[in-house]
Amino acid sequence: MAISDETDEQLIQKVAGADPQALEQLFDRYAPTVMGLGVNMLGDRQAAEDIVQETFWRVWRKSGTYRPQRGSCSSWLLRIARNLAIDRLRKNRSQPQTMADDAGQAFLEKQPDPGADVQLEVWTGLRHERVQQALAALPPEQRQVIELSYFNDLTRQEIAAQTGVPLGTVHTRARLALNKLRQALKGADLENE
Amino acid sequence: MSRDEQLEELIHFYALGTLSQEERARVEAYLTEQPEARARLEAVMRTVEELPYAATPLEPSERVRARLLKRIKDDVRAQRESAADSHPAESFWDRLRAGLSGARATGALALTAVLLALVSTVWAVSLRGQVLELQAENTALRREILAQNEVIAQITDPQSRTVVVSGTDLQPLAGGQLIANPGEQQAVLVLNGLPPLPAGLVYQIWLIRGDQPASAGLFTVDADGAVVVLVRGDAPLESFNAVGVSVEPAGGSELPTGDIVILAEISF
Repeated sequence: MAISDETDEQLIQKVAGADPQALEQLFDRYAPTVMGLGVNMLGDRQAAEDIVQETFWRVWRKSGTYRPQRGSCSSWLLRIARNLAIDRLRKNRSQPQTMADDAGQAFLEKQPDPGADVQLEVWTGLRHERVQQALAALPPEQRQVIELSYFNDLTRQEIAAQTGVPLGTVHTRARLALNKLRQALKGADLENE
Repeated sequence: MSRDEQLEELIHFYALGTLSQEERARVEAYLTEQPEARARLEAVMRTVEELPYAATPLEPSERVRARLLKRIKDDVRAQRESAADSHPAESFWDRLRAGLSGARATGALALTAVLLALVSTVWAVSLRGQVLELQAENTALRREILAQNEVIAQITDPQSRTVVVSGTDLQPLAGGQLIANPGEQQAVLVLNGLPPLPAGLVYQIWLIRGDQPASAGLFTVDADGAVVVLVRGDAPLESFNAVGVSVEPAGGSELPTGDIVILAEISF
């Protein structure tokens, strides 16, 4: 499906007016990112697909609550996805899995999709590459704090316990990491690319 | 309040979304007093919002898309059916007009004239009743406008604070916001994703202090499952611990008796 000229904000307005085609376009734009985030956080493709499904269903049902002054549509959508993944993570932690789930790792490799739109794929890939490079450029101990916090939903106290460093050090690493990421991503306004 | 280094450190974890409720409340209180801290938070948030793109993008399987689109198609159909059900039936005058345009024979026109005379008589008799009904409707509309003005004033007040409310496991798709001004006894509750209830049931709002719920209003929802309703407490809203919504018999209950579909902690 070809990338649309309409902005995310225009599309979400159409979704609020019950336009399924507008939701499909948002799906094409963001489903791969939501899927990647889900697999990264949950390590399980099936669970990640559930997150994709539920994320876009919520976008469909809750599009009327989106307020542009509180942030971009993509941030809103990805926040819904992350919150759903966090809920699933917490549920998994309270109900430990009895089977080792190593199947998800196989899907960390990008799946070829002959039907995908090239322009859209390039746009998503560029953005991924930029953020991935910015994260990779961080000192490992700083990157670890961001990953444990954002992708694994660990509190600062849990990170301190897991990494064996004082809480103050966790604070410093988070601050330094986010400052460096901000510098690295400065001007990387891919929304307009 | 001056710059607090400890809370400044927490701002990063606030943006990352991994603070406890108590820590979050402390940071939010700090942010309301420190515009510079708010600006710093916004910059950190913009960075954090890029993090999902760090994950390698993956195409979900085609069945995810198909299942979602089917769900949406079903939803659109249900909404249309619901709208059609609530659409007023074709009026007698519409049917008469259609009948007139289709009347080709003189006999049909004569019959129509008789019908018109009959209907005019019945109409005149019923006019008085309609006037009384319209007066009652007018009063109800004026009350509704007053309530809507209160809602608008509350929502647009720059002092207002917002609490995000979520559906319980019984209604996971429900959610919305509670908008209130600190120190005031009323708030606006904006909800969506709640199913319309069968006749004889209503949604009842509860403000909960400790483990004591107090009724704060009744409401129903339209076919879209959306509602904007004023919540009235007997004390400033921040003195309550939580807000909830349950399903109750028409007229409401003294205490929650039915399914609790919305529950959220109040922390401004």
